[in-house]
Amino acid sequence: MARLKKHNKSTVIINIAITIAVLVIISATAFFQLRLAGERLLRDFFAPFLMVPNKAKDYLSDKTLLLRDKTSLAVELERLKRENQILAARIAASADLKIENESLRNTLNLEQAPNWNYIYARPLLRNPINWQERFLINKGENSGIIAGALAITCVVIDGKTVPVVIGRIDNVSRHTASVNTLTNRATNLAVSLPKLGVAGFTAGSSNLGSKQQINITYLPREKVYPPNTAVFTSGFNRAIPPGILVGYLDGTVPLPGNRLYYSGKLNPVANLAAVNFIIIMVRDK
Amino acid sequence: MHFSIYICLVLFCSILFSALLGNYGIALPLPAAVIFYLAIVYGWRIGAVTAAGTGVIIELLYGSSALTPLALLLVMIIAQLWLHYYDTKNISALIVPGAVTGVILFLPQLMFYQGSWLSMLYLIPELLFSIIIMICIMPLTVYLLDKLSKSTGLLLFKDAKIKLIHQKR
Repeated sequence: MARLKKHNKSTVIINIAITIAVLVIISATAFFQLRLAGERLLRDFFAPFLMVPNKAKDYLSDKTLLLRDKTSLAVELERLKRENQILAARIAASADLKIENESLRNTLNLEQAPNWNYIYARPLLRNPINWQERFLINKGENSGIIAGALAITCVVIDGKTVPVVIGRIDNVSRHTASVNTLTNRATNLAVSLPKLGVAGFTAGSSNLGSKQQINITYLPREKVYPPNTAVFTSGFNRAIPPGILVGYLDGTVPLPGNRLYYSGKLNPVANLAAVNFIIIMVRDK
Repeated sequence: MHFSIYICLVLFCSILFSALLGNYGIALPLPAAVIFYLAIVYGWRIGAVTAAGTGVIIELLYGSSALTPLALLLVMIIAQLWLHYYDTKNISALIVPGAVTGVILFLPQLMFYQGSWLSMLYLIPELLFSIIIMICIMPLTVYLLDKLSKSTGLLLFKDAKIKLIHQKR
């Protein structure tokens, strides 16, 4: 009787061990899928609450607008009308260039240049711990954002508004999306230095105090790299448009154990610590 | 049953409030202070479940490493040590576990640091800030949650030690 009891006990222990092992294997294999699904679910749940401060700010700014007198509003309206007309004229002028470009591409049997959708978004959630590396935005799948798309912002350089790279879209939920900035190790962006005719890849950042520099790898050793050489997106990946300014090269060092390539430091143009609006570029299907 | 709703609501509010403040660059680890409170008032089992759950929620929300649940579980252990070795009636003494919690919550930050070992010295002001902020919010959170619990007829922080002594007998 005692032997039978002992046998039953060991069978129960073995069954429990097998069940635990199976559960561990299942959770280990499904971990990333579960994590992705959890992130999406939770972010969509928290999104309406996180949007409250932005909505309150917009409401207040609308109300402040109503407090202004009629004359100043009329003046502002006139100014915006003029600005609109100038922009419309500029678009009309660039239409000629577009037609010319298309006909030249046809002549050379080149593929037509892709169209890009521009989606305007604002930061929704930032972690003070990795403030410059990753943040959540208030637009997601519903607005047409897809994972891997390029996130840009605009900065004024020498009086001109220039689009510059912030990072790439990582994970998209229905109402939100997370942006991995250039400083994030996971953002490996193909870049080019057109002045020197070379290409490389960004690889996270190295920081000294508050100063953040982007690492750039696989720069061929046979070239000389003058400081402040402009670095642009290369268009190597079809989901990312070429020719968008990333930053300026600061210097290069030999890659340890590699006699073919240099590693470099890049100063990003975008102020990643203070991004107030983001434009997501999604390629037309 | 009604205390579980209370726990969920308090945790949700603490996560949301710290997330909203986080958007302005202020790292206020309010959920850690709430977990310290819950672990002392409701015991280590509820403390462990809420610590793990809150940690997972924060990780999924920010999409970062898996260190927050571990850090919060450490906070729960500190709460239990505090309950067993110190009197819970003196709320102002909570600056001690507050300071220790500040150090624990700073540790995940080292995971994100990409600079050299020497440049980690730049993180010392942030460590001090984390300690100071926890020293301030730990007694304050306990005081406010005890006020709320008193008005809703739930268990109190200051009675936790007496409850423990009765349980031991």
